[in-house]
Amino acid sequence: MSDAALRVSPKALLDGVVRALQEQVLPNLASRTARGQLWAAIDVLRNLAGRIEASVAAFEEEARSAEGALGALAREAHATGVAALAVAIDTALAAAPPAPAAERVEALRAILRDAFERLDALPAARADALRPLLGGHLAAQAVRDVLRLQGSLLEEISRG
Amino acid sequence: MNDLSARLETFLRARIPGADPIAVRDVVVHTEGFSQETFSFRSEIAGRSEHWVVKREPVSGLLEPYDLEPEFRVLHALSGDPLPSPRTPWFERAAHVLERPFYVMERLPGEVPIPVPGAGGEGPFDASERAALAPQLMRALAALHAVDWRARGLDFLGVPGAGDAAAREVARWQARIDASGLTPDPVLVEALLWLRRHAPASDHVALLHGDYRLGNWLIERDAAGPRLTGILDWEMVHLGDPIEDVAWCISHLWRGQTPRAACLAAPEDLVALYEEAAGFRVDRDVLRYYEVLAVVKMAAIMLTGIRAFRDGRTADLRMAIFDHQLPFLHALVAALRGWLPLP
Repeated sequence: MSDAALRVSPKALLDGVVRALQEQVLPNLASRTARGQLWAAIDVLRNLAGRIEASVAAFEEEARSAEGALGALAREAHATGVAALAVAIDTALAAAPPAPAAERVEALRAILRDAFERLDALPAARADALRPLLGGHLAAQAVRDVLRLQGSLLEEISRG
Repeated sequence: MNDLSARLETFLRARIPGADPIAVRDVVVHTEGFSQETFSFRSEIAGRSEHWVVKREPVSGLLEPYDLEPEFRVLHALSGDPLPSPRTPWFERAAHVLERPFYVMERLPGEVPIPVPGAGGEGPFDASERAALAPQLMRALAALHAVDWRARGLDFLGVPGAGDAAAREVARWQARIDASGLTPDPVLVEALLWLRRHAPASDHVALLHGDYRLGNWLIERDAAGPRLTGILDWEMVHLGDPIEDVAWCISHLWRGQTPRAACLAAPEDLVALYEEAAGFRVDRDVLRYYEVLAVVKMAAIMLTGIRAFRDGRTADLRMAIFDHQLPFLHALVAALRGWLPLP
């Protein structure tokens, strides 16, 4: 499956973990038992890299939400006389690849970015009225992404 | 390590002619930093012992491309100042000394507080410590902002044009995001567009630390109470609107799961302490503007780290973790933009 919608693919993440364990942890381990366990962990990770994929369900959920928001924006733009924006969104949505899910999400994110740019070019009052139609998706997507994750590292970052 | 000691001894002999004997001892490499490489050592020069910290450019990192010289020049210029910035006498660019450019600064007493909630969810300070530290920290920030940067020759940092400080910072961080080569999430793009539309036109230009937060403060605790002894990590120093520093300091990014800005006080109370020390009112709309910029800046830093990890230029796994942390920033920026309730 494509990793187009990911900043770092699962394979790149695992390759990096393997590199860090080999270069930064292993040389500092004195215990033979610990070294054996670490070698085994590295071996597992190296062989895992080709077997895992990013979650398709997460991409599909994001795609549905983005399509809904963009569709609502296009309809409202039509209704309020901002035809160029509506046509641009409709055209881009029609051209977005239906699959695989990661590529569709990447295309939808690009349409969202473009829509925000186009909104910025409208008179302020009109743009302010339309922008929340996409803002709801931004909020929902941010919450979905956070709920899939474990705790934050920000406290660690704060240590300097 | 012996090699490092010998190299530092050679360096000190060159920088302090006539001082003899010179010995370098207790070299310790520190790993807690996310950006520059840091190590400390003790010098014994003609029987006098002093503690120093070396900051060296990393091969890759969160604020690449690196140039330590501006930061050194600021610290050097402030070395005789009552501000708690470390005395910073030396900068070296020549590769034969320590392979990459570095500067040497005095090691100040105190420790960096760890912003984790304690057993009672208190954070790193108890109530009396917070009461003592909050005014000190805001007075120090106001004192920094009152520095006459022109008189100190710090205009080399780049003086914003009239009313241009905010727009310049937005452009700077947009450029960092672009340089990462990673496409920002739509929520960040929307925030950047909002920042461009609403850039405040302030003519108040001050010397900003750029990263004034809990993790960059040295605090010494003794019988007289806690005391700010040092302000560290000046790599984001620049000239700009002082409210930018205030917003970074009170950002949700550094609250350590407490309700308090910088784990010290209610955000509004901390801002009031700053206003009292600085002698001017902080415009709350401008403050909110720079709070949004703070999260965008942090996202840009994370994207840079993610890219360095993805390209294999660093094996530091903390950079990989940023990929999982960005959604928290997306949620925070969505909240600050009003798309979600604020935490």
